[in-house]
Amino acid sequence: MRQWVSDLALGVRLALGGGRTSWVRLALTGAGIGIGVAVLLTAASVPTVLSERAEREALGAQVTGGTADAEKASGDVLYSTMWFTAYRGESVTGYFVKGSGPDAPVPPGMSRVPGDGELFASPALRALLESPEGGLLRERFPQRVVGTIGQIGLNAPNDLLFYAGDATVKEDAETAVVRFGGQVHERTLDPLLTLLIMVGVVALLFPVLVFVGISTRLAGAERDRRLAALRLVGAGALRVRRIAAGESLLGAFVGLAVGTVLFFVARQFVEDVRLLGLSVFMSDLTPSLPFAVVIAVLVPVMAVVTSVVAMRHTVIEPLGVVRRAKPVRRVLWWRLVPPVVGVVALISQSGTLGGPQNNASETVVIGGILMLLLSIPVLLPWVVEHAVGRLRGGAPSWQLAIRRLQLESGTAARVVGGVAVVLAGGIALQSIMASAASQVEDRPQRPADHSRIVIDMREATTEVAARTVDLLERSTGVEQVHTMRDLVFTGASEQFDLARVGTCEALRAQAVLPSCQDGDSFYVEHRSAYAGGPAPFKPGQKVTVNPKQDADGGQSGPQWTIPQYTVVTAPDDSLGYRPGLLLTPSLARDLPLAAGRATFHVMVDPDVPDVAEHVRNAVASMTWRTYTSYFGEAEVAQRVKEFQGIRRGLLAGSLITLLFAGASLLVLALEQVRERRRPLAVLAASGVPRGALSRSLLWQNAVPLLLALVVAVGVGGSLTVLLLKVISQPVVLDWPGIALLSGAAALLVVAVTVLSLPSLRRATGALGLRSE
Amino acid sequence: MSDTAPDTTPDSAPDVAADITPTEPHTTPVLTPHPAPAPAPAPARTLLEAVGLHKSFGPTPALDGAGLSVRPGEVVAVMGPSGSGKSTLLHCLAGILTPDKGTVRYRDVELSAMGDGPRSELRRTDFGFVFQFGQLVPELTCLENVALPLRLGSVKRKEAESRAREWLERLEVADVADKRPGETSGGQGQRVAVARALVTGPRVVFADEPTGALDSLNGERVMQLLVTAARETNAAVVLVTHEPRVAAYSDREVVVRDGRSREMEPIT
Repeated sequence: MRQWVSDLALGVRLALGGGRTSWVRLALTGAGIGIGVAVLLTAASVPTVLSERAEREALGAQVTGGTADAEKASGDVLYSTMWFTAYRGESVTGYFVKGSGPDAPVPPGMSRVPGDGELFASPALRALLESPEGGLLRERFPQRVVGTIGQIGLNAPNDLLFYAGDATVKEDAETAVVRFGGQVHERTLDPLLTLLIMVGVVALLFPVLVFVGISTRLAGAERDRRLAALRLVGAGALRVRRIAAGESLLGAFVGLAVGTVLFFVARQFVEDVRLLGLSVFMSDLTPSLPFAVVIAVLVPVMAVVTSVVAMRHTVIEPLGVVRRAKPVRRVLWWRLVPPVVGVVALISQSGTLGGPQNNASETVVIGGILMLLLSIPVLLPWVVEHAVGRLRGGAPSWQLAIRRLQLESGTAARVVGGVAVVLAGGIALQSIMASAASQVEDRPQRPADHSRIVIDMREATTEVAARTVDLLERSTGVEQVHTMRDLVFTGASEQFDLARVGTCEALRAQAVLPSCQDGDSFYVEHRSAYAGGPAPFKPGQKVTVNPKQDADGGQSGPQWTIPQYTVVTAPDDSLGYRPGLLLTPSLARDLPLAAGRATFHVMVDPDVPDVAEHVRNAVASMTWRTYTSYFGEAEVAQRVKEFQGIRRGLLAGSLITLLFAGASLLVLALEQVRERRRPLAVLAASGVPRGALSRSLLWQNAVPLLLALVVAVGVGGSLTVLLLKVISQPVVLDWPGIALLSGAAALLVVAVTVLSLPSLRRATGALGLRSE
Repeated sequence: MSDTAPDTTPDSAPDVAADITPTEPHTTPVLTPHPAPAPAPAPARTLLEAVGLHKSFGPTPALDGAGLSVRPGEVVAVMGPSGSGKSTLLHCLAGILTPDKGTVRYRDVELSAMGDGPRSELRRTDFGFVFQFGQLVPELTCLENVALPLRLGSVKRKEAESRAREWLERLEVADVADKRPGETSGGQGQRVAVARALVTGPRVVFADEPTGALDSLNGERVMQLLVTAARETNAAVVLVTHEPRVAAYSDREVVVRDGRSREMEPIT
């Protein structure tokens, strides 16, 4: 045991000795591993972010008097009506509230219930309202801001949330909140989304591990010479391995420390960062303990295992000092094991996630993905060695690069190997996402009509409706306002249908009518999306008009007979055309329209800047009664919302991984120049122009990169095909996406080469040559 | 293991190790400015003997039946033109390379039959090495470099460094003790290497072109110090060189040509 400690200590001493050179090497290793650790810690924080959010969401859940969960409401209640609005594409959500007494439940994150005309805003909303950019939004919130909603009442720092006191809020059981706080909901995800997350997590995190492994092998040639010198003075093979492990351990621990510091420093600024609309609270970004422990153990273990395995091919023999043997030719057979195992694993899961069922073994699927991605860094050195072995001739820079690669291509292959893994993961991820998008978003999204804004209004009395029209007509950019009243008819056996009442001009905004005059009625047909729904009421059929304007309002309203109508077809049901009856005003004279819902179709000039904001502001005084949207703006289903959230998360992760790959690549490229500074200096001294050396450096990265692209596209494509078979989807490769990713990877390598040129210049400068 | 298996198993290591127990390091001798006179006639028993060595690197033969014997305390120069196989012969003698054919026996123990562990121990205790360059660990100071073989042999740091310092003083490079090899001159570096080769009190020092990278003045001084110190500690020296001036420090010369060795007439 003492010997072990002594050997490890000697390794540490060797890693620290050597003055500036050793420190630079240690700093590069620490930076390489540190960046990886920081990314891993960020990933390890995702479960905490999600669970903290879910807990806060549960804390803020409203238990209303109308629900089974509510206790017998003996004390005060909080009447609350939700309201959505939007501001320049950002969603603003809030509640208009009114306490029934002093003991009304207080929403989480607030000190008290706001009184009439008072507003509690989230920090982001408050900042927006106080900023010049929020000028238009301020008009919508005339209330006095009396407080800020604390973190416990928010999902994320960028939430635009408010609670506004409003004396006009409806008082009924459905709006009466007896308390806040509910159960944390277990999220059960669609199998397809589960697979997407699996691919995403593996594809994003595996490259990080690859880079951590590669970083531990920085300055391998120097280490080999050092260890050979130790062998010469009598250190046994096992001891040399222990000493090498000591060296790697130091790098790993420095990397762990650097990564942890980096993570906690970056964490201070996380609330200011918004990536694809996502933001997190600093306190949420806390690595989950089990994952943090795994990282703390995994990184040093990986460092040691990688460096010891790497020594397998390096002849750490005493003669390493004086004679460098020709490197051993790489063999293929064992390198084929990971891809074969991966392919077999994924084939065994074919169809298990097809349709709604989930019979897949997550372990096998993840294992298969891991194995296929692992095959890239395993196969690449062999591919590069054999491919460059056949290259000949060319310009001096090309010849220098090729000869160098023929002598030792391992480092270059490792440098681009990590990028290739990112690329293959990206290809698979993009293709699965494209496939998932077509499956999840079963109806293609069409752009909304930005020249027409629809305002839905609850409790639209005649006066309120008239005032609304007046306000809208005076608003900037508004050309015309069409008012329609909404009704719900209920027939026998719970059959119901919708009707809309308006002038012919207004109804024409709703459907294409052949001809229209007062007294006419039309029926907009249900489209395929509604196929299988209730059959329309027949002319002459007796129905009950539901005064509550909803489907389950009972049979308490007045009776009415469906008039003769003309069937018309909506031009496109996905663009806001609602099926149901369209009635001109004289037909609805006896119907109770005054207490019902109203819809305003506001025709606007879309070229007027912020026209939608002006329209929203115009009806802001109606507060909770209104909901504004563009005509044809589809309501997004929960599944689609989840998919879009995952897609945003994965894209954000891809961006982080790509940045990480770039940073790691730069570290590796700098180390490559540093390791080869002696031959580079000698070449410069013997008259090789710097331009030729720079181009040679580019070729040394570009040739392996080209080969890496081929391997990455092959493996990424195979992974896509196999995963699409797992979810029983037709095999379609996203070629434009592949081209884009490949181009990005190529650009990354060129950028990294350019950034490493100053280091090359230093190495080949007069001073560099002298110090060598 | 079967009876016929070569004696390379770890089980056999203790016997071999017992057979090659290092001598106690000598107390600090006083160096004389010139090489000490040759010792009394060498005992008949051979310390290190190579017979019929063959070694090829790929299709290129390096040794073709070469042989050499070294008696305790004698200085043997291995000479020959570049590429003649003299370094390969030295590496085979030191157990660094294993010959394709032929035997190398050190104190009646066959080196090629020894496992890596015992051979490493042999290099640490009984052998010392001085090469043309590159054998010092650049990350360690000169003092740490000299102390390294002792530290690897589990000698405590203080003691190891104290003994290392004595050897640095004997080789007149005590002033570079705290410098790294890269910060010393070529001559100083080689003297540090000689100190490291001798610090464990080896029975054989293998020197491969030890003055090859030095000017003549420095080369002379390094050779004087090496040979004097070796004689004082009764260590044999196998000296590979192509310079007659360096070979003049030896008791006898062996010429290697085309992988075959030939004993020269004794130096008078």
